[in-house]
Amino acid sequence: MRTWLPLFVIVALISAVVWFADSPPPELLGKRPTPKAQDRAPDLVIRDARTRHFNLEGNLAYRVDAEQITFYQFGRRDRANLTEPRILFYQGDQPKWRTESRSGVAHNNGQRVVLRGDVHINELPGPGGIELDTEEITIKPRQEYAETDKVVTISAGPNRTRGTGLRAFLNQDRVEILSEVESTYETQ
Amino acid sequence: AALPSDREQPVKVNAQKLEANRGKNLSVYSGNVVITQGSLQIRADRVEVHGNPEGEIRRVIAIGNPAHFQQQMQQSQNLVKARAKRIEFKVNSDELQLTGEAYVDRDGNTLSAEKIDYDLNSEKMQAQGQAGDGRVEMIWKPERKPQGQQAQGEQARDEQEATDEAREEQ
Repeated sequence: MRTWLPLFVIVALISAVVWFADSPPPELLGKRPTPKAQDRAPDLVIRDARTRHFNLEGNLAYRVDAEQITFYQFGRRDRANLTEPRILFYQGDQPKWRTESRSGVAHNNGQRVVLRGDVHINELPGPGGIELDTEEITIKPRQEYAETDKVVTISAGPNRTRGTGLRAFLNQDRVEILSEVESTYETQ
Repeated sequence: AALPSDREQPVKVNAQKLEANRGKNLSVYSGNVVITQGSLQIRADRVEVHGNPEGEIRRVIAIGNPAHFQQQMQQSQNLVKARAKRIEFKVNSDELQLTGEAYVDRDGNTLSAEKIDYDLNSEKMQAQGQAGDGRVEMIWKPERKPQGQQAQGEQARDEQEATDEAREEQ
């Protein structure tokens, strides 16, 4: 039994390091970059970008197509400015949400994505899925969660709901509209 | 019966907040909730809208202190008004179930009870008092004849009485 122990400790250490390196908890990401630090030249610029992002299990998590991606690395943190991004979020091996917007910013390996300007989100497969329109939204793909404090319109078939402020818990199929709610149900 | 045109109109809901759970086909509106569909109107603090998978509304449950319901009936052209702590409206069968200090006012005829089931098509009502000796109270407004007709009625009766008396004297 004694000889196994050191081997076990070594394996445990290696796994911890790999885990930390790949998606460290926010607290361990190190200091936030100062505005001055953020203002420097980008580390990478991709024009007419077609990018694929995979999760730990090696499955396709999301695709980002954009007119331009400007990427900055700040130690453990990173930021990608997206121009005219089209993002496809996968659930299991199926595409589930498609987003379009004027611009976007993806933080820390896509843990948080903020989309701005004529944001339009489709649930797939269409038609029949819900559609969401707003001016700005924050998406946390791994937590399958989205929120905004802006005016939002959700259409589900002929029915439509508009309000200000939204919290969407996508894995629970649950949505909250926080104020000024107006719904219209069409009689079919 | 309820106005048929009501049923073809879209249902509009205004509220402060909404929680929608698509898995359960349930939308819960809260805060000054107002639902309208043609002449139908529901006002409450909290409203559950139960739909079917296609998104059509099946049942509406309004909770308030009290919750209010009103709709125009086809024949009488007047509004039927109802209130209760809990109002359940079954859309397909046009049935209203009022529970908790229930009260219905139809053209001035009123009914109050603990529970009232009201079929909006047949306009039949079934009331139930509170358990134990709970009472049901109904106030039926006397039929008022139009002004002119009433006067003639009395005159005709007077003349009839006069001729009867004359015949007796002969």
